[in-house]
Amino acid sequence: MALITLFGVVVAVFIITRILPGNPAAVRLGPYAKPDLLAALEQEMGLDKPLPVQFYNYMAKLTRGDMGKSWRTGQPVRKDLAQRLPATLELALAATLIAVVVGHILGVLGAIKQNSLLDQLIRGIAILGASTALFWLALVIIFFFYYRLGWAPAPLDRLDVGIQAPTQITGIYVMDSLLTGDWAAFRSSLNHLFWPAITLAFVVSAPITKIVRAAMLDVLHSDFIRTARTVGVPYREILLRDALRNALIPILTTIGIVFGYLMAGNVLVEMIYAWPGIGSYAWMALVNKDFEAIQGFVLLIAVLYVILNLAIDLLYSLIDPRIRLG
Amino acid sequence: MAQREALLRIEDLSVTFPNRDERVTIIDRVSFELGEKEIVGLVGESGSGKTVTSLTVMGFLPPSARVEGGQIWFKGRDLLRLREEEMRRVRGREIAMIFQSIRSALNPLMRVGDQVARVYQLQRGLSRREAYQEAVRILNRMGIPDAERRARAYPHQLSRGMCQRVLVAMMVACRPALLIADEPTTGLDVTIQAQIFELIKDVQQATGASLLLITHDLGVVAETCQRVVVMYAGQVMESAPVESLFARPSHPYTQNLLRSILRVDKVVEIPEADASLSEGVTYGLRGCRFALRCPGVLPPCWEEGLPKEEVEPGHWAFCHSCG
Amino acid sequence: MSVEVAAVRPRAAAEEGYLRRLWRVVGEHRMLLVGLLILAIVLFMTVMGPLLVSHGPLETNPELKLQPPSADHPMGTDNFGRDIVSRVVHGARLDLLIALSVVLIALGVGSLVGTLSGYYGGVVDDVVMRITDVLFAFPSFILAMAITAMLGNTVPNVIIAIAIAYIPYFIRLTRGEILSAREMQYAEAARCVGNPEWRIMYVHLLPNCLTPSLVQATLCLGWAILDASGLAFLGLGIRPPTPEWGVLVSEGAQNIISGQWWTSVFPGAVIVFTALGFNLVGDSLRDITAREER
Repeated sequence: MALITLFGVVVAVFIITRILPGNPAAVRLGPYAKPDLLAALEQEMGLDKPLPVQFYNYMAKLTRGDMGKSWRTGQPVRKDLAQRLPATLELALAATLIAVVVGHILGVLGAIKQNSLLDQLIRGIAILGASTALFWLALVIIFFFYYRLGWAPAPLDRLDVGIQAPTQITGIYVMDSLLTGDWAAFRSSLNHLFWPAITLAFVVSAPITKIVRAAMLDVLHSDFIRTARTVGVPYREILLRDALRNALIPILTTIGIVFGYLMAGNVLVEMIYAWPGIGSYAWMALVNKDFEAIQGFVLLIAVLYVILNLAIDLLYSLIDPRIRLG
Repeated sequence: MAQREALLRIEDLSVTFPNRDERVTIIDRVSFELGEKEIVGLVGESGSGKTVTSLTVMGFLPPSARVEGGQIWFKGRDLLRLREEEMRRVRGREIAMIFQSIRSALNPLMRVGDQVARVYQLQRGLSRREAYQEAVRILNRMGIPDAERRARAYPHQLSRGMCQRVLVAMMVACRPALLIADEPTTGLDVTIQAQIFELIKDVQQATGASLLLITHDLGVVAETCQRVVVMYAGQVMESAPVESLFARPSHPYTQNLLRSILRVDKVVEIPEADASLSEGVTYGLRGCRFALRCPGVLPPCWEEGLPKEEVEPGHWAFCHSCG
Repeated sequence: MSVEVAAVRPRAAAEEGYLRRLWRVVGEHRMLLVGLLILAIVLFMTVMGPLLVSHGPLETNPELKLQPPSADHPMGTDNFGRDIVSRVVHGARLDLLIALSVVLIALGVGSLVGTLSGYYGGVVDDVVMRITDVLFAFPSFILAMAITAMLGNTVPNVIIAIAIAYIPYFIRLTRGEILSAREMQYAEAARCVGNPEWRIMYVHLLPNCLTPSLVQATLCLGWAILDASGLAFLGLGIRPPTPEWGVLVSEGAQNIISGQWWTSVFPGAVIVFTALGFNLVGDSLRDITAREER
């Protein structure tokens, strides 16, 4: 099932990059291109061949893992992406961690004290988070915490100038520096990671809060919770043992949704904070009309998304005995 | 007349719910009592307020509901005056309840044995291992074959009848003084229904608890209960020992009811009809809510204030024209 | 008995005073009202704004560049000395136009396709569902980003790109509703009378199935503003000097580090304000329609 979607994704990316009206070569060269230059570039990009052949070439290259060559960096796109992926992962993981923790706390609080002032405040924050333009928020945070207060480091890269990157184990600087005991790198990378992470986390925690709250409310009103109350189970135990576990199921779905927001936000946040991940790579590709790179980026994201959803489905069956045992 | 202090005494209980712009009085000045070790049946059509009454006793009303008056006396305390933490201590230990929903009343993610064992841990202070062993034992006594294996099952793997036995087991584990069973056999096979009622009756006798049995089924009431309380549209119509009620129903509503459903060859259940409540409510009747349909209605029936006539010792009819 | 019945009247609903009822209804739907208020302000700004501002959006004044907010320029000036209030207010038209177009297209195409898919089922449904799955596999912003990049930087292209990203939502919503509406009695009746299928689908069924789609449309209006301005910020779609909120934020971004915050913060705040309005209205509509169903 997922394979079909995967295939569809691959086809879709092809459609977007080749079939859509608009000549990539012309776009790259601009409106003043000389016709022979245009033709040469078209030939190089393989645009002059009939569509089915183009598709075949595309698929053939993909099965080899070849995503084409970035014309900006001159390197294979795959290499570029692989190089920059750890940085994005670090950011995404940090943001997800913060958002999940904050979202759950707020969501559960809101559900327990439904319709109280606190609950309304929480709902308000969630709606605000969902309405915030990520790029604007990033700028505001930089202005306030870097320019005005000087707490944040200059939004440039993952480390301060002059500090060496820690030895590569996972590619995640915070982890690596922790593992190798490189405290200077640890402090610096953490400092640099924090700000883009909370920018992302603010927006991403909004849908999480909403869904956790809704799921908890649902569960809290269900019959088996009433049974537990009837036999006198203390409130805290009801919350932790019965309610939370049952609410986990819809919450897992949010993680899938969150990934979507995260990736979208990544491009903007990485660009503004000059974070060397795949998001800023995509931005530079856009600006430079580096179509192979854009293609590779979009493909990667979509594939990751499908895989993530698969993993979530697997987790469902682990948690819910109804699915597992049938 | 020296009377034993009733275990549960509900006096003049009224509860309202919001309905669009106004509040609807779902149960109106309900009064009845339950003695120790007594089995009382609470009967009536759907919408007559039986479930709401029992939920009020347990403190399980939704936040939108409001208790407008009355008291619920249980072992010398008015349950309505208790704070939630105090009520939590009452639940389980003193009063336990089985609801209409069977399978959804069990946690789908926890094995049934663990769910029963948890009650033992909580209420009886047993260790985890002891509690689990007790759980298996009681599941066995509840009539679940192969209890050891079944205890490891999840609710969705058991039949509804077995789920209900599990729930009864959980209640028994609490050893409450009062057990409330709200339509415990909804949706079960007829044969299983009989078994469950037997089970509940056995439990009541074995533990010496009082039982408030809410049901549609007059046949069960006739067999199981010692006293019956008849409700209609949120009000109590009549309350009597079982033979008195069937032999000499005094309230026109009860008479109507028994006439329409009792046949010589079999006892039929009270049919589903929820017009009763809405009529009484829409017309803002201050007195008896059966007045609109009552064949024996008299002018005082429309006025505020419910009459109470003791037709025979222990047999009460809330009516002006009874007898 | 009839005499007695006449003496009893249905309880009058006007027991509660009119003003008190109004206050209570307002209290229940606070979120909706705040949202509508916000949108009203935005609408006013869009329609009346350009007529009320004293400077033009493209009017450059190099001597006045990067002035902080003042009486003459309540939101300050940008690096070309242009009045930011004016640019924000003119940008509103563009952003709202884009949002509206996006939602209209997505709603239109999505519900038409969803109706087809839900009504016929079978192969048609399978194919449509597969396509929707594929479209959902891309985060909507990324999808819109890629399509705009490929199509070229014009306003219509941005609209199409974002609309394509939203269409699957409406397909799914409509299809879901049609699936249940299909079995209802009025559909049966329409069939019996001999209506051609397209009529049954679009004239009888679809209008009854639009409610969740309309709620989603409100939310999509908010998302569209965020997405469109996000794309513009990245340099896709709308380019300077056209005033558009995202463009304005991006133009002002470089000034943040040197302390001239007003060039980015005000336009961005307006974006958030507008999106907030749509989200408040959309969320409360969703709550209201969910409650009615119960």
